[in-house]
Amino acid sequence: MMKAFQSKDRMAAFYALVIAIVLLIASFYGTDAEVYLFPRITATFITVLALILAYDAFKQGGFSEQREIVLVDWKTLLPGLAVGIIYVLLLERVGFYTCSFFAFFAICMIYGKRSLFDPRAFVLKLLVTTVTLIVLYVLFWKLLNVRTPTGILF
Amino acid sequence: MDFLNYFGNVFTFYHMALLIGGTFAGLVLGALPGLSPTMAVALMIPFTFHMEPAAGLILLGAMYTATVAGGAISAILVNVPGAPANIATAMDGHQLANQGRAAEALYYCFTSSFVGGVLGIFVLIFFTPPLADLALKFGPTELFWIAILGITIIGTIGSKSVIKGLLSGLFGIALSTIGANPMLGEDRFVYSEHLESGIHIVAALIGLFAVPQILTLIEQAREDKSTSVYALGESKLVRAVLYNLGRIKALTIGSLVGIIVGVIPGAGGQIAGLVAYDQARKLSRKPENFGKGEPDGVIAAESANNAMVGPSLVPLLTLSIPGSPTAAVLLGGLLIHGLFPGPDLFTIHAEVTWTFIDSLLVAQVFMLIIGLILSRHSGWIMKIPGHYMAATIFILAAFGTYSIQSSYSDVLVMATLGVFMYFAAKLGFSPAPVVLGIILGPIAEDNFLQGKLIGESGDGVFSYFTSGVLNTSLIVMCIVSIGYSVYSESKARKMRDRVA
Repeated sequence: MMKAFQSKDRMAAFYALVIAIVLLIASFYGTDAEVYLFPRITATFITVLALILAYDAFKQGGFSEQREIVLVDWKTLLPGLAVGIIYVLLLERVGFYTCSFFAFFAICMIYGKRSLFDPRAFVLKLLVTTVTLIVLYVLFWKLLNVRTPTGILF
Repeated sequence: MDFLNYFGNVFTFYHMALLIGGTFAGLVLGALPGLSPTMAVALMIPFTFHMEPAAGLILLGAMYTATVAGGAISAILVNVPGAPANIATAMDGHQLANQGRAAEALYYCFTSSFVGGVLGIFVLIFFTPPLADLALKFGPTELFWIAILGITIIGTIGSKSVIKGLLSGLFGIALSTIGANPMLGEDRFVYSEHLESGIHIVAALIGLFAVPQILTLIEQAREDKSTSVYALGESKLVRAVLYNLGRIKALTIGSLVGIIVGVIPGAGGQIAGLVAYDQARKLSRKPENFGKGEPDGVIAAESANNAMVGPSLVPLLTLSIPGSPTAAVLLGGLLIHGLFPGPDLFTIHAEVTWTFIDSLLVAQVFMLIIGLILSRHSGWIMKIPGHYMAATIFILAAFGTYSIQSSYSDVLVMATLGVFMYFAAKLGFSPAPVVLGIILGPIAEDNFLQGKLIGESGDGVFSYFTSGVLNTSLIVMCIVSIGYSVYSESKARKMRDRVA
């Protein structure tokens, strides 16, 4: 089964079909025809195109391209994604500036080329983070007058 | 000569500061390998939200012009085009750098970008108003088909796969239907309180363009890219500029190709640069020199990709069909200031529109001056580490999105859409049609529902949507756009199969 998806186009077709089915159900099932008329038409066209994509992807080349395809380097990506998710979840509760400071610093520490324990790199990244956040504070809070949620810290 | 009436508006201290700041930022962002001009403009939109419409558009326009030209810096110095529009520039530009003539190549870039850019803006000035008048003849059905045509064109011509491009556009339309029905006001697909007001254009723009870029940057951050930045070498500025201006044939080919490609909706700078390079090589007396450091290759490619900028705004400002992905983002910038493409831009909002267009002309001058100065000191731009760029874009994306409506929901929507787009892009889908779907979806739906009501009270809905010269022409254009792209794709596939 998994071998069938070892092609980018087949994976694309599979996910497009999943989205098409979800959209079809969401727009047709238990909804008002008048209110959902346009989403229904859109969902139908998406389904037709997803079926064409699936037909095309599974038709061409048969199972000849059964090589391992690596679309995402999860090991590298996951720490960054985790920082992003934690940032978005805590943003309102902890405060925009505190969260941004830690997120910026975390990304620099995790993805910087030099060792995590290099004291010079640590100080440099801390400095860059602090300066960036001060610039953002002046720009948004003072110049653009955008009041971001302060949360429990700031 | 309406454009002359508002020329003075550009020369205020505030507008000039924005032009200089936007041009400098655009050149630096454009020069950073991996950061696309489209993302740079998308990220800047929230800042313009708090400005006067004219000021906001001046900043976006300057960024658009400068990012395209700035991409040449990395193309020449490290052989990594800063933007797709600079792919052709790298072919001879990097060879010149190899020969120790990097500064000379950069001088050619900015001089020819200036010439092409100015010619392109004149096309924008003289061709936009008559085309905008055409839009006066449009009723609900024509506007519906225009919206569909815009999505179709950018989904087919601007995408590598026709089906994936069209699917991307339709996903965008589906996303735009979240929230209230435009006629009946009833909510749809509001499964969470965060979706109550639908998807804001800016949240979508930043999510779809900036977040995938952040994830790509962090994905590549640990790769050992020991790119060597070439020394700029010694070159006389005046001599290089005069030599460049004397290359009339290369400049003419580049500018003409850029203008033609720019007016074609969805085509973009990449096609302009490559076609101009190819034509310059074919028409050259020494075609064998191309690819070995021929200045005409750089001149044709750069004049073309900047000549494309102005004309790419012609279909955008008149019919809301963007000529390039960055122009699609600019459409979002227009809409958040309450400016809708069409004749109103040149009547009700004439002052804002002409000030914006005039500022593009002045932006070319700043691009030339700042670009030439930056040419001497551009090596440092290449050395900015990817993780600093990723972290900065990340924070700017969150702050920018929040600042539009002071809404936490927008940040959530932006992040979700962005992560979704990152994975979708890995599978060959592109963000530009999705964005256009989100922007043009409501226009399509609103006019579809209006047309349906009128059609039901007359000869029938189908007949109402398909009758009349304009409707028929627009439907034919949709079919031709899809048909041509399917034909090109199958031809390219056959070629690939033959080679394999």
